[in-house]
This record gives sequence, C-alpha cells and structure tokens, in this order.
Amino acid sequence: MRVLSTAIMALAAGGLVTSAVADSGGKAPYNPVTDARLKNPEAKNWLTWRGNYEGWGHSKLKKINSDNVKDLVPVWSYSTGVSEGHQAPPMVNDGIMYVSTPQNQVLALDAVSGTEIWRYVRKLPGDLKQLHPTNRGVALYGDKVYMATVDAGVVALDAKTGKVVWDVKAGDYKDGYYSTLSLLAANGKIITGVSGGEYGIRGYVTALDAETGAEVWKTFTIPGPGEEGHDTWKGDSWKVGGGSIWMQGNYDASSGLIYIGTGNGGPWMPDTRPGDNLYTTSVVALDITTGKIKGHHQYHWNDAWDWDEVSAPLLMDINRDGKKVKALVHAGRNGYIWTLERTAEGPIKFVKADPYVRNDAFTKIDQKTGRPSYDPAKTPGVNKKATFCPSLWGGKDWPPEAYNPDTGLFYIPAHINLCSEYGGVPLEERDPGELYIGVPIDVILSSLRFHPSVDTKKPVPIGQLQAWDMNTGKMAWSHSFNDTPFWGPLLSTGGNLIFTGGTSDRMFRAFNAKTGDKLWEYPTNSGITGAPSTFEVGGVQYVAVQSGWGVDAERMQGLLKDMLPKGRVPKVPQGGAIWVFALKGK
Amino acid sequence: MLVVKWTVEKSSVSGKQLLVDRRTLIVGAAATVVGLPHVVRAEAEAEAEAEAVAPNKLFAQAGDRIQIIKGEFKGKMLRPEMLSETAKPIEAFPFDPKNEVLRRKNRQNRLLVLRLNPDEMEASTRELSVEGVLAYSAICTHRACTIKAWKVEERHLRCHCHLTEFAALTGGTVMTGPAQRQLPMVPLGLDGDGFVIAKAGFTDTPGGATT
Repeated sequence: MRVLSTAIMALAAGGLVTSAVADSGGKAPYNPVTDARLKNPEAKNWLTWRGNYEGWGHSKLKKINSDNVKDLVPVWSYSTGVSEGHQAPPMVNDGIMYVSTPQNQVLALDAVSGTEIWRYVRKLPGDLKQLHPTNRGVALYGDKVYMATVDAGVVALDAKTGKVVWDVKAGDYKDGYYSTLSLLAANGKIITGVSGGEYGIRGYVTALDAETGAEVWKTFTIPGPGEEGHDTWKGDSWKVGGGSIWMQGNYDASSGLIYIGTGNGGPWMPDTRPGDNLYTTSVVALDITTGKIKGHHQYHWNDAWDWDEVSAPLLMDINRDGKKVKALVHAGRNGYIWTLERTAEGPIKFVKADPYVRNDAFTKIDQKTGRPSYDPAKTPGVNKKATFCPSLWGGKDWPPEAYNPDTGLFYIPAHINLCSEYGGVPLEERDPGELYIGVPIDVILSSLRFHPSVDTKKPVPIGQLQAWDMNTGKMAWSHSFNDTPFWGPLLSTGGNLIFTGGTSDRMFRAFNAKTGDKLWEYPTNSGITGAPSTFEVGGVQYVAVQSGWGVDAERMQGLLKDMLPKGRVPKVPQGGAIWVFALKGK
Repeated sequence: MLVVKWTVEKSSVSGKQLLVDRRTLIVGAAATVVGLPHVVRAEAEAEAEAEAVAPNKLFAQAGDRIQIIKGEFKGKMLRPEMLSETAKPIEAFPFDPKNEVLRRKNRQNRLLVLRLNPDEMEASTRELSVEGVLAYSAICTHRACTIKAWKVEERHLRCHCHLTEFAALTGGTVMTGPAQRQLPMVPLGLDGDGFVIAKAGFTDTPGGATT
C-alpha cells in the first residue's frame, strides 16, 4: 500500500464549518453506513448517488404514486447561497439529509424540517478556474461524509459535526485536473477520479483508504509504456490523452468490480492521436482491491465528436433469447443503447447496440464485437470541418438514466434534433492548466446546429424522456420537451413514477412510469439539474431535489437562444435551493 | 484634461475591507465620475506582495511592460503598432523590466490586449487606453476561466465556460451571462522607447466569484 502521508493536510485547513443548531449533531446517535447497508439499501433512505450500487436511480417507496402524485406539495425549501449547476442528490440517512453544492459546500439538514445542522464551506484557491462549477454528490460511509472537490481533492467530514477528518490532494488543479464526480464508497475505500480532458490531462481513478485518506491504488485510464493497450497510442499522445473520469462508477459487490465510464480522447481531433486510444470512451472494470483493469469495452474508438462516455453502465438482469444475462446497460453519448454482458472475472462481452437518437457518423456496428465503422465525411479532423449528429453533447450527456425493475423499463434523458459542426486547427504547445482542445473556442461556441429536418417556425422537440423495454429492445414511450434543453437526472419509484426536471421553464415533474403521461409539475426557483431522491421519515414519504441552473445546461441554453426566434428561449435565473415535497396533509 | 491624484488608503467594497493601491495614481477626470476606487487590491494580497512574493507571481505593477505569449509576436514586448482595430485580442502577461521576469506564475495576471477606436470607447475606458490599446484581465469574473473568445461585431470578450460577455468598449461591463462583476483592466501608457506599459496595477482584483 502506497501512502501519501505528505498529501494529508492539516484538519480544517481546507474549509470552514458552521453549526446552526447547537450540539445537535454531536448528541444524536448516527447510524453508520456499512458495506452491508450499501449492498442492500433500505427503501426509507437514499444512501448513494443513484440509490444503489447498480446505479438504478430507483426507490421501492410507493406511498407517493401515480394515483395521488397530483397532491404533491412543497413542505420546505432551503437556499444554498451559491449559484451555478446544482447536480447532487439530497442523500438521507435516518432523517439527516446531506447535500453538496457548487463551490464544494456540504449541508447537513434535518430532512423533515429543513433545519440546518452544519455547513462545510471549502476554501477554494483564488487562482482556481472552474469549467464545470458543480459537484455531483457526497458519499456516506461509516460515520463520515466524503466529497470530491473542484481543486482535485477529496475531503472527509464527520457526519455528526461536519468537522474535517482528513483532506487530501488527488490531482494538481494548476495543471488542469479537477473533480466533480460523486464518490463511490465500498470495501473500506473511497473511489475518486479526475476530469480535465479539455486541458490535456491523463485521466485516472484513485482509491483512498476511507479512514485515513491514504492512497491505496491509482489506475490511469490511459495505459503507460509496457501496459496492455499502450500500443493504441502513437508517440507521446498518451501523456495528454484525456480519458477523464466525470462520474461515479457502479459496483458489483458480488464480484468486487467497479464499472466506470471514461471521457473522450484529448485533444479533440482524432488525427492528433491516431489509434484506438484505449481506454477512452469506454467502460472499464476495475478490481476494487487492487485497481487492476480486469475488463473493458470501448464504445467507440479514436473519438472525433467529444462524445465522452461519462456515465457508468447500469447493472441489471435482462432476458435474451430465453436466457438471463447479467448485463451492463448504457445510453451512450454516441446515441446508442449499449447492452453488454459482465462476468465475475472481469471480461466484458458485447451483446448489442441500438440507436435511441439519430447518429449519422457511424455507418455500421460489428455485430460480434460492437466496433463501429465511421463515415469520413462526418468525422472532423485538423483543418477538416464536418457536420455530425448527435451534437457534441450527444444523445445523453451526464444526467443519469434510471431503471425500474417493476416496469422492466430503462429511462433515458435524451436530446434529439441537435447536431454539431466543427473542425480542428494544428495544435499549439500545451500551456499547463489552459485549454488544449485543438478546436478554436469561437468555433465550438458556434458549433450547435439543428438537424436539417427541423423547422424553427414551429416548436422544436429538443429534450426527450424515453422509456425502453430492455427485454424486447423496443421504445415503450417518449415525452418531448420543445424549445428547451433537457438536463434532468431521473428518479424512478415503486409508485409507478419518474421524477425529473432539466428544462428551462424551472419545472419539476412526475410522469407515469408505464405510460409516460405527465401527472404533476411544479415551478421551482431555478432550472433543475439535480438528481432527485426519495426517502421516508416517520411513515411519510418525501421527494427531494436541488434546483440550480448552470454549467452545460446553461451553455446549451445560451446557444439555443441564438438559434430560435426571439422570445422562445426564456432566461433561467441562477441561485440554488433544496426542495422537499410530500403529499398534501401528510 | 483635468488630472487628479489619488492617495486614498482604504475603502469598502461589497462589505469587504479592501486596500487601495498605495502608489499614487494619476488618472483622467472621467475616471473620477465612475467613483472610487478604480485601483483596489485585497488587503492580504497587497501585504503579501509587499513582503516576499516572487516577482513572477506579483500582480501587474506600474511600469510593467506587456509581453505577448501567442501568435505572430510571441515573446515580443507590446507596441501599439502590433495591433490593429480589426484583429482579435492577443494573449499576454505583464513583464517586470527591473527583474526581467514575466509575471506568469500568477495566472490571474493573464491579459487580453486589443486595439479599438478610441472615439467609440466610453470616456472612462478611453482613459485606461493608450493609442486605442486596452488591456483586460483574461480571467472571467464568474468562475475564473481563461477568456479566449471574441465577438467582433459587438466588441465583446466572451468566456467559453458559461458564456458571459464583457463589453470591451465600456470597461468590461457584463452584457450577458452569469458573471456579476466587470472585467478588471490594467491602465496603459507608453514608455520612452515606445513600449506599452502599465500605468498602475489592475483596476480591481482579477479572479472569479466565490458564490
């Protein structure tokens, strides 16, 4: 075990904790979050980013259901005090809610009343830039709360008091490394990763000892010399090849394998890094004990379209030709639903790929290996402009899908009718910590296009909530959102409901999980890009979400404003708040 | 032109005690219209500078030249004739002529220099220019990304991160997007050799917001 003792900094050096309720955190008993609880999470709590290790975003709770959701009302809300993209779910452990926000705050609140128990505010470096000012959620483990930070650190807080237990550096923010992901906690470890693919980084995943913060292992997503897969890179391109880790991995507790999605290759133009570029735009299976790569599947090789495959695949059982398949299912940014088979030993087998939005860059998918072939006319390069669909934000970006084992449906927050047009320029020398994309920023900022079939005189379907039957491979229903981005993480519940926000009209909505009928909506303070959660305290079910527009949702909105007639794209106010809803009179 | 001397020591901005640059600054009358203080520095930063900060980490200082870091004139000290009113802004850093170091170890020193028609500038902006040359902080006041994009028709500096646009003709005021604070500038003059120099430090602390 390699210990980075020098990286463990003085307690409280990296932030400030305020207690709003005197001693309340210190006296109440705290129910430690164990591996056993995380493996079989109780329905009344929401202990992980997606509710379970498999990444379903599903709760068994059903007191709020498709019959009574029309009576859902807000019971409290709480301002976070910061702006930008509020993407983290409110996590709940026995009546205490933990929420992370942009600027790396963590709030601990009474989940029923909204009373603040403590607040951790990270002191971020003055020279830190934030391309993605957000955080996707804390991890609850043992008696601590963990958060990855935008200055590429990880901090552990005492769950009762918010006091810093340890604070370690996992990357160099001055060199373009940063972390926005929620953290996976399992097997005595906290699993983090780094972003920075637009800055010329080499991505990696790091496991930290949950008690001490000491590094247990570190695995690069781009193999170095002598490692398997290194020959998919030429020259020194691997040193700055991207492969960011934007999102938490999902976890198979029975095999001890983490399944994590990787970002695109960097710089963006494929001819600057010839080769397949393993393990970019892939799912990688990592042994949680050693960090060794035990299997992988690359969704597409030598990416040209900024189609990071950031989301981890969901772990689910599906029926295929009468046989149960232990599957990995992923709605790719490249516009295909990828169905893969996982094995306890690690190797990942391709099963099938079905397009869920229009992809005009892939000409075919090899039915044995899943390897796509490309249309050169749809593949940009250095001094070569190309138009392609879906757009650089893909069919689905980071907002997570959901899976409901009752309906058997897989739900996707998709974007349709969007394409991109860009080309690269010869690379300049890398300036550490500055953009290293190889596509002029003015070009990227004017790259969004509608599909030629779109008539902007009419409302344009852009966002689309889709439901797919994974056993039949058919779409069960869809609901389109016109003239608006749709950056809504999904929550599925046993009450036959799908909750999501994501649109520029500030709405939080509930849909019938079987039919797609919209059953309820409520306008919040800002646009919702937070992952919703649900929990139960004192026999009452609640639904919680953060509202706070920003990051890529705001970017897309800013570009759509110039593409649609005046008055069709509203301004979305910034400023974050936590919202908690329950049935009227409960 | 009416010339005034400021020697104000302290002021309060947004409830935070800030220290006005201790150097005396000569500015045009128009600058007084927009009110105090144009030249401010966070107290801790100013004190730190006065003590042991290495010259390559110091914020831009009066007398600094401006070194271009990219493009045709990479490595050269800025002269007005290197820029045209139709060209895109150029990336640069302040250069300490006394110690002969580029102040690049502090990324908040990163500048965008450009040339515009002085007749189109707001008067208070014109006062910070020399022969139409302006130096803006390249650090967005929202989340501190490096500003790279330029909207030529509007003369807006545009941050790619979250699409804030700053008007170059009006002192970097926010025209759209999430930033709340105008872009700091470095007031410019010419030295005896025809090089563009900083007449003072930044008009406000460069960097992003914390909320």
